[in-house]
Amino acid sequence: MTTTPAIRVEGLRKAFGTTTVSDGLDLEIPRGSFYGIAGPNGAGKTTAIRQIIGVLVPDAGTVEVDGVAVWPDPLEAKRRLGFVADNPALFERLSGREMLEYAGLLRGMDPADVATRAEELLRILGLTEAENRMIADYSLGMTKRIGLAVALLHSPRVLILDEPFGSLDPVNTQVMEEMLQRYRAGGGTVVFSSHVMDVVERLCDRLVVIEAGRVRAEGTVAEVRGDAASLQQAFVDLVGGRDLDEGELSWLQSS
Amino acid sequence: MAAVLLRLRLAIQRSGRGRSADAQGALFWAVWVLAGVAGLGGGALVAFLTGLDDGTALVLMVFVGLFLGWVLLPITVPALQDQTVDPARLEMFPITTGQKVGGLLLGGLVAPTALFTFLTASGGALAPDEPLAVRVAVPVVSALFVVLCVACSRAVQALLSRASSTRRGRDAALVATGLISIGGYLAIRYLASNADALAVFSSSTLATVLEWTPPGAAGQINLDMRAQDWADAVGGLAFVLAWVAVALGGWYWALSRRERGGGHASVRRAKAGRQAGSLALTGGIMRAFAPSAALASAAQYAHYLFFRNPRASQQVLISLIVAAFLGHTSGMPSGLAVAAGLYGGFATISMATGMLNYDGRGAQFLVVAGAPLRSVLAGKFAVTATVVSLATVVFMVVEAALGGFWGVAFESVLFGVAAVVWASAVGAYVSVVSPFDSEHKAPGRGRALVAILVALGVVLGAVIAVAGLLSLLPTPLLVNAILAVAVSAAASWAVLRRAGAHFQGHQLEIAEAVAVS
Repeated sequence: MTTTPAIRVEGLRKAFGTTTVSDGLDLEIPRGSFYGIAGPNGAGKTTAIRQIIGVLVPDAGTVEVDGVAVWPDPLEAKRRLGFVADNPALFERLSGREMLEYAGLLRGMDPADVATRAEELLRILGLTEAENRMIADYSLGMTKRIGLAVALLHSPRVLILDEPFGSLDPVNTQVMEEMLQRYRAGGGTVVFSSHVMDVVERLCDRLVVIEAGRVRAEGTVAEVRGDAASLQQAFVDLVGGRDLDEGELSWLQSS
Repeated sequence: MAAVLLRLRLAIQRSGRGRSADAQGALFWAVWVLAGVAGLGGGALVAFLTGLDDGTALVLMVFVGLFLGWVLLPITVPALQDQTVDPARLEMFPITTGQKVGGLLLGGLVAPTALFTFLTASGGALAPDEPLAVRVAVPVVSALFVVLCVACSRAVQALLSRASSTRRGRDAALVATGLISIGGYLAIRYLASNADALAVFSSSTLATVLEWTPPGAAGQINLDMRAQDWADAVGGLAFVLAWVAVALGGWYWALSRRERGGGHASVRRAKAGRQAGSLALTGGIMRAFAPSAALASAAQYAHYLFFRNPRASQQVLISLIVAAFLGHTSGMPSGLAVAAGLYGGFATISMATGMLNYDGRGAQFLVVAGAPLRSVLAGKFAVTATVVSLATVVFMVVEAALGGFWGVAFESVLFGVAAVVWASAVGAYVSVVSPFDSEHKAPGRGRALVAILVALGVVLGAVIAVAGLLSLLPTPLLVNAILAVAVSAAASWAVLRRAGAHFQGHQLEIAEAVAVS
């Protein structure tokens, strides 16, 4: 029996003017996996993610989340998704707790469930003290944590995170990693984009390396690393490194 | 550094208008030409008033009016704030506070509004029988007057910006705005109903009072020079210069305090004693309703309108107060019911046509979460209709008490509510077809203004048409009022459904429009 993948992307294309950002992208992300999306700046990771979560219409191609087609009507797919952006878009003049309640009621959840889950998420993410402060007054790390709480509140099948570990201190990074592992252990699928290769290497079962909107490599971490000394080195080898010449930036000195 | 900031401002001004380079250039210059033409008109008025025998108070009133426009409009109409070069964006650069103030002041002086003010204030130079020396000196004094206006305006904005970063400051700014608006409303009502009071404009007492205000003193300098009273002119000049220094000092203080970190909002403590499992957003009177997406949206919008978002709160206050003025002056001559309809229509259109504009990046959350957008809009509609309906009841009670119209007060309230419901639905439609980001100078404001004017026409047209039709019926007023409510409810439901469908179908564009940064 074939298991439906958590996310299936086929022939995804998107261009802004003459710039092609997704150039025939194909992905198949297994259910229950911890999946990394890596690529250099401007590779098209965020654009691909935005098409997967149903907020950017692709020019061509198909996207399925949990077996449900995202386009043309992404509503059903969004019910199965949770998304945390690099800088989460939230109602910034609501407090953290109010935001959670708003998100829960918008998703049609039972108010009692919303209240108990919000309580637990705020406590685990270390936001109880700040629960009545407006999100506009949160630091970026706190905003990211409340964004994660909002994304997890309805217990989605697939959780997608864009650069989730930036702006987090080591303690909160560890808390978030544990939360994501627990979510995965409960049957969820975690997909995240990152530049930080050691995080990808430590957490992910599989990863894809995207460059110029195309898949450069895909497989288990061991497969993508190959014979390279580290995943970081393999990544640089794949996308091409840049070495400074001897004389470049010689003016850059503190005295 | 001042020149660098000036060039930055001009570049932003130019690129902020229109999409294509040609359109940007044309609009940029069109605004300057319009300001120049309007300024010449204002200057001609000042020249005429200066030549009158008893025109002193009127000339000074023009100066005071210009000054109040500079200082009050950016507070009462947030969209008019000068955000071309945001001082907060300059904090990362090695620029001293003094250089910032100098650069931003220079930028403020090279603006269409400053040109308009300068040309209007310089009108005295063209007054008949003016000595040549005075004709030359008047533009110099006018330039100083423009500096005074810009410095005071920017200082007040900077001080209020700092104040609005704290909860108490926001409340104080809102109360001040409300009081200023109410004061203006009451003054106009008093003058409109007391023709004798208008004589005060030609009195020397008013001129004496006005000449002690900073803008009045600037205007008086020109009049003193015309009368060859050079000692008083120099005294006035010193007075105005002192006020310019005070304004620049206040502006400098506000900016430097922000850099030292004194402008951050105070941390709100967690509320003690929250019951486990209780809801934070839909508490209070909202507990009376079954939890739903529409209720959550209504609660979010109510939170924003009342104190969470100062711009939204200001809009509510101004809408309700200005509508009272318009409803009274335009509607009461035709009766209490018409006044109620006009009040409801004006207040609602002013308040309801930007239901999404305060959401900012929250609109993107709605899209990402796959929120039921029809319900979201319905929640906002319900809040608007409820708030303005309650305000209409208050307006009716006041008008009925003042004029002794208690006999038709209930029916009039029903007419008012019918207008409010209809205008809320039209406002909801305008909100989804012409959204823009209220926090930033964003594209879409011009289009929204046109949409609001059209909506106002549609609402008032319907109010007048329905009132006219019902007046032809031989039925009692109460029956007519109930009929008006029924017609309004049916028409509003259809418009609201259409607005909800548009919101659902254009959610990506709308979210992009209300969160430009």
